[in-house]
Amino acid sequence: MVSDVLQEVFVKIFRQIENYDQSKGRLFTWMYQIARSTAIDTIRSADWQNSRRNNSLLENYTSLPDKTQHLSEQYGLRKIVQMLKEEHKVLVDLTYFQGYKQDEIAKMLNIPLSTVKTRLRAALVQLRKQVKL
Amino acid sequence: MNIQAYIKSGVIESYVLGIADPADVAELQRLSLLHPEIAEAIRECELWLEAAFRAEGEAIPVSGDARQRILAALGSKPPSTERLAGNVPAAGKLRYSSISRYLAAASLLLLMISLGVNLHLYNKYKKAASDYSSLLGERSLMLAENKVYKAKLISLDSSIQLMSDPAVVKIAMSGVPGREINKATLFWNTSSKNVYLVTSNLPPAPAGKQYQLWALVDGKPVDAGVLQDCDGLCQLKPVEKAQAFAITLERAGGSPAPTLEQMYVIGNVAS
Repeated sequence: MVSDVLQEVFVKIFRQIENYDQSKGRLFTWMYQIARSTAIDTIRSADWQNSRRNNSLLENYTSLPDKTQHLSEQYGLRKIVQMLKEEHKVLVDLTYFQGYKQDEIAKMLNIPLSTVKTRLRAALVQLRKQVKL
Repeated sequence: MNIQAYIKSGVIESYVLGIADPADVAELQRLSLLHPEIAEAIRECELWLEAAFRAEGEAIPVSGDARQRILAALGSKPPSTERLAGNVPAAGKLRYSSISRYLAAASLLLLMISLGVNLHLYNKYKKAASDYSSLLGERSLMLAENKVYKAKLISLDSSIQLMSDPAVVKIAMSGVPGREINKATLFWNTSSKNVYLVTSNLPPAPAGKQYQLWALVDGKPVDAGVLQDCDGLCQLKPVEKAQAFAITLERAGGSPAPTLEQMYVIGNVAS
């Protein structure tokens, strides 16, 4: 499954490279956003949900290294997100990792959209400080 | 609006991470055009994101055949395995060459289209140029004809003026026996003594010869001038007095005395 996403990301970048507009941002950011949205689309797709439910450990899995199960905890922002306040953590999780829109989240959690915005922004500022380079 | 507070609010981070609200995205893009410091903050945040990913250390390994599968999905043959180590750069090169091939094909196509259009325009231009020059020719021809008509009209007009003078006597000159088909008309202004001749029915004078007009005064022929090449009304020498007029064919320049055998027409002055 992961290699499927990787493949799709490469294909999308290849096919859409003409749409990349240098004035709108760095190439890295553009590629990152394609990668992220592809990953989220896959996670939210019916196929993924099913394969998770069936706990398929068949052909696609076997070619991958064994640490797949722990990827999410070990890599990326996940680790740092754990350090955030609970109300911030939830928002970062729902938006960044699960791909929900902010207005969807406002309805889900039954809080005003402006609050969602303010909290999420504060969370991201916190995150950026944590990953100060 | 406080730009610094806006920059620090976290909206730029949410934008770069791709999780901003569409309304915020629109506002941020608009503001970044107005305020260079916002554009700069976005750039910084992008650099941060890039650095954060790079600082992640070891990248997550992928399965060995991932590269082949991606290339297969892109519809191209995987290059030899020795370059497999530099995964991403090689893929970049491949993409570049494919795009440049596409661009080359597109520009070739454009070149051919442009050549075709040029040829078509050139032909049209050539036709228009030749049409134009032939029109110019026709126009100058018409102008010349116009001039000729104008001159004819003027001379006709003056002829009419001349003939309508009450002092002008019209003398019809008819062919002598044997030359009955020949005719001429003479206009003689009895007050100014000017003589005009219309030689509509005389054969063209042969080379080296000219028609000469004679006034018969008291039975004697008096030279009244030779007929030059003239259109319509020809003016000759003034004649003071005459009872008749006659035309003979003489050698060019005229003779002192008429050659009577070569007389073509004769007409009497009505008294």
